[in-house]
Amino acid sequence: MAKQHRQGHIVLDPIAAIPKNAIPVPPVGTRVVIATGESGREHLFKMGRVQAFQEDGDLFIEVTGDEPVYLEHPEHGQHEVEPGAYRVIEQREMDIGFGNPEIRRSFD
Amino acid sequence: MATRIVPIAEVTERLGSLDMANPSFRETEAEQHFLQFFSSIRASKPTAPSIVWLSGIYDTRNRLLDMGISPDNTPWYQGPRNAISNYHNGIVRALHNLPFSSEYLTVLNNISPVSAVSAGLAEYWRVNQMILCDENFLQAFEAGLGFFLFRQNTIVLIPRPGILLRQEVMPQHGQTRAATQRVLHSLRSPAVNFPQDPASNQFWIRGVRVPRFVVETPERITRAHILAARTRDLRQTLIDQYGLLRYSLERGFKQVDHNEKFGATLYVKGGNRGRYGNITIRECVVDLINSTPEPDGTQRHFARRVPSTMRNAHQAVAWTFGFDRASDYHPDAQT
Repeated sequence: MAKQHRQGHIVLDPIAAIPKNAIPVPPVGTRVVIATGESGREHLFKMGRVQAFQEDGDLFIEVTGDEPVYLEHPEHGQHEVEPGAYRVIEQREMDIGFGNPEIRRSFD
Repeated sequence: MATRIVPIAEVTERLGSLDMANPSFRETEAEQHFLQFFSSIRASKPTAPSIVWLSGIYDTRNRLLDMGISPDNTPWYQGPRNAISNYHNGIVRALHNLPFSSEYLTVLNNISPVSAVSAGLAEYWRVNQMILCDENFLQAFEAGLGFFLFRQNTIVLIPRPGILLRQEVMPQHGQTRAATQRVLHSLRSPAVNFPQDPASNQFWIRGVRVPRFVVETPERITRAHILAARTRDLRQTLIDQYGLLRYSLERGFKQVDHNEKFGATLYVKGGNRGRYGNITIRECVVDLINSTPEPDGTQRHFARRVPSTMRNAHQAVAWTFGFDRASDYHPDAQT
């Protein structure tokens, strides 16, 4: 089983397979950006063999081939990500509320 | 003289290529294209209008009064307004009523404060963004025109401000990810910047308009400011800037658990079940330490508000990543 990775406010959670109805997300040039932090710094894959997918607002990635690829970020450094399917989870927090708090994405 | 109706795909492409943060401003070109646009839609032209440029949108009414221009609507104002409205309807028919969308324009639409809207400043946006399908108008926009209004045989033009945006996830119950949209946002400078008119600058954080000092001197924020916030969004923004952990500790939160492995500490307040009815609501905040040190060797802390049902730090940090069971959160590598 592939490893679970945490890079800043992002978690890559290994899953069995990409959901059937997920739609491929086109890369930005040769890069696959999975999240952008508050300061504009990106969590991204620069190498090929990574395909992003989206379904109902959830983001997934699939790493193909035999060799690992690198998830990069200027502050948090590199993560060696093994081939497999992953769900990309961004950190969240409760919004303030009066009896009915909401959930929002949190800052990096 | 009829002008070219630009296909929507081309409009979207041309708008997408504009630098919204630092718009170029070519006054003569913008004015020339706007006048061409204006003369092409006016059936009757009793007198040639004069052009006045305002450098920003702050205190528009008094600025116009100072220039001897009535800030109120006049019969002449209604003529151009109706002409633009009719012309817009024609464009819609010509383009088969295709939906036109540009998130940048939606954001621009929010820039004008209420006072400016009531002064008619945002009338262009109220007409419809479809008017950008007019080649002349689009060229005026590309040359830096932001807003216009008509008063007393005078056309008042205002440059397009620079805007800073952030992709924001809108709050949704029970969702880790949800619909995103671009909102005005800058923690370091005005999110809406009129280069020639600093008084018109506006400060926004995550789509919430805030006073200037919240961005420029956040150390001046006090708990009194937070308590006096008029809206929940503003209060949330002030707490974010003040520091959630600092605010929570000042309100009496106590540490109840610490997990070294995940760099998480859980703080709790309330949750009492007194014998005489003094029941208090339980509130939880988890403080997370960034495992990657800063260049100066220190480690940043991030405080997150979590549900009141959290019992330990592991459960709390797992919840922030969408895991209902703490055991599902077990990063093998974390930085």
